[in-house]
Amino acid sequence: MKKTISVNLNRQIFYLDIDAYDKLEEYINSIKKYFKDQNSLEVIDDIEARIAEKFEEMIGKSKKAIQIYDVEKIIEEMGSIDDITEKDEEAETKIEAEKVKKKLFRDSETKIIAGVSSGLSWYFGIKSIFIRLIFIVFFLNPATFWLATILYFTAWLIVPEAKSNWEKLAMKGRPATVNELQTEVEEKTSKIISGVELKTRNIIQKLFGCFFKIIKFCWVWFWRISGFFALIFTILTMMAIVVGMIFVYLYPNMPYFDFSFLRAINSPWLEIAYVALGLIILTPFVFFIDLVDSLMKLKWCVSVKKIIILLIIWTSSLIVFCGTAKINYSKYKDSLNNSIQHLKYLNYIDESNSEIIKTGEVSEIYISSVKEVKIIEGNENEIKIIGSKYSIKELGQNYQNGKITINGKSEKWFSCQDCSGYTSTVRIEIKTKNIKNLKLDNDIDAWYFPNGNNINIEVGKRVGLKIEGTLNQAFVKVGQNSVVNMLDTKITEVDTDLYNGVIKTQAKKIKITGNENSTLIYQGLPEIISDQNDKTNKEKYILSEDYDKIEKAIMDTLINVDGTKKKIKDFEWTKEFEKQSDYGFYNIFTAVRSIENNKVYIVWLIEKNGIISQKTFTKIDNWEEVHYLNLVNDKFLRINGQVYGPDLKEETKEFYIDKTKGILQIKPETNLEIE
Amino acid sequence: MKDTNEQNSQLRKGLLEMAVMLVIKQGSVYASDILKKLKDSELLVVEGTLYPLLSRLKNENNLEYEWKESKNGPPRKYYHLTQQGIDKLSKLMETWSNLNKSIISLSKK
Repeated sequence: MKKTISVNLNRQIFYLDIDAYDKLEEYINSIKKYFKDQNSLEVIDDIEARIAEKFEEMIGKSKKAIQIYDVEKIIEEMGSIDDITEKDEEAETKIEAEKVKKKLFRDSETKIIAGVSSGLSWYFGIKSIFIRLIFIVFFLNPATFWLATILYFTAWLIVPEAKSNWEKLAMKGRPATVNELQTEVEEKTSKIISGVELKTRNIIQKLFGCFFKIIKFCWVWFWRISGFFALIFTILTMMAIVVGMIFVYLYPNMPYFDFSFLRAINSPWLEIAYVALGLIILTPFVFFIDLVDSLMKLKWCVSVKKIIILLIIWTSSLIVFCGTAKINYSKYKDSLNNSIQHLKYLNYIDESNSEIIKTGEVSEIYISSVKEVKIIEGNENEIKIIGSKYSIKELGQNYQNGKITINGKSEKWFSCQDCSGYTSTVRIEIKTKNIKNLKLDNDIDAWYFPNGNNINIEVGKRVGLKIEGTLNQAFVKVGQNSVVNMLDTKITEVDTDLYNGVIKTQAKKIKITGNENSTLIYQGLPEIISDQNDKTNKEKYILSEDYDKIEKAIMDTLINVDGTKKKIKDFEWTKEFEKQSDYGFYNIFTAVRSIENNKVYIVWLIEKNGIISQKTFTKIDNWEEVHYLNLVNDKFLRINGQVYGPDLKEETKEFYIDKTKGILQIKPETNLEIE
Repeated sequence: MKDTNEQNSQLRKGLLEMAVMLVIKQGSVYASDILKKLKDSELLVVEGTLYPLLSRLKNENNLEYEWKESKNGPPRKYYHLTQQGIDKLSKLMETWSNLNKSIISLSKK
């Protein structure tokens, strides 16, 4: 009995005995090898067609299998490769030498695990038991265990198994001639393996097979899962980039993310550069997705064609982007510089730069969206704008018939109407004689030093206005969350209109209208005139009379400086900060800096409805970096635009004002310790 | 003995190309037809030699082939000479007849 193999020769099926097949394969391979080098594949086809023809002649229509002597006969007729080609002796020996060249294969016939050791033994010509011993020694030594494992598995994956007789001969380094093939087949059949050896081998093989199947399973799934997460991560990143880019394109001048300098480039160049930039960023991700895919399948499945296409897209995008950048660079350079300046001074005022505008007499002032305003009444007429060049440039300013209008640039956070973004970081200092109208829009901190005139004041949302000096009569309109502090102003009459605002005054006569959330804080014994609509809380404000007690409360605060807990007054403070307090606009607020370290501690008392409800404390590590500091609504500390402060808790009333006695009391007597 | 064999084969190989072209000149033929005729004239020792020769002639534009359906089995290549091949053959024939004359005349002396 012989095994037959079906063969497709010139698109016809023939059945060959296994030995006949081996012989034919050897013959055709020898022909292929020669003519492939000669680059005439046609000849191979022709010869195969001729052999098919001969087979057909031999078997006719019957399904007879072709036997080895049939093949031998055909080879004789066709002629060996040496007969067909006119080879000289030299070439022949060369081919012979090539045939003998050994190749590394795994030997599946004498294997124990995967045949790596037996394959190596053939390759190096050493008995396989020695290789196995070396491996066992390596495996048993904990230090080299991993090395051996990795080496073995790599060899298992990389080195192919010797399956065909050809490969088996190449593994053993024998020339692949007909005789050798014959002996190989004979060896196989005559090989006697004792029953016991076979059994132990089988058991070991099964055990290892099972073990490695589990390991392989874990291995494959480990990569699949990792690949899956990497894929999701990559896709999300790509989406984020795309969404981010669209966002930046549609809203180029977001506060803190100002890309408005891009607008210096005209359409369509901007769009072209934009798409090119997107492609530059995204193309590697597309490649990465393929890599991840390969990882999940544990198989390299990125085609060279795709890589080339991606490379072409990437390179051309880069060229396009660089091209547009080159063309438009000069246009956008200034814009970019401005933008950088602008970002640098986004939170504080650049004191080093200022601009002075000479004006005539000013009677009306209208200011919106600038950070700070200072108005001093005197004999000069002048407007000084302090801030970076860019910030000054973005201001809209107009002086006409005694009226000054200054508009800053106001930015709101996207899709948030009431959040304050940024306003132009400039301070406007106005020196003039006699103002009749002062109007301040949202988010301004302002100081006003009047000189005994009548005035109309109107402030918007989140404004802090501190007035120091003398006034005759003032009409004050206060907006939401704004505070107008006139405690240090000598004034005869205040006529005020409050909407969720606070006014502090020591006027002799106060006319008031306001809603429930508004507060009037007054000092002394004024005549208060309020109509029926008025719902303002009216609180008597006497803190200014208790400065000493307040200061004591602050100085007795326990703080922890580098592990030493002491009262503020017991620490040594640097000169510049000693008793640096403000009881006016900043309410009750003290800043101290310890001699030992660089940290600045700011302590302030929070007062609500005439009651000091909380003492709070902020530590600033880098005082040098603090450029801008003020108190918002007398409650929160604003440092470099960042707001600090605790949530107000109604129940904490360590400090309160005894309204009947008109004195400040502190309860409990012991001090509140702040860490 | 081996030397004479070698010489014979060299001589045969030289003439083979001409012989093949002569066979093809007679009309459109396919490889097996050529082989049959050449075998009859005992010019060909092993069949395999024919195929590289055909390939070379084709590459030199001396012959062309076309695929034709056969009654049973896959299509076959049918060869025929190009004009260039015909010209080359006539030149070869001329040389051959000249050679033949001179050899015969030499052998008569």
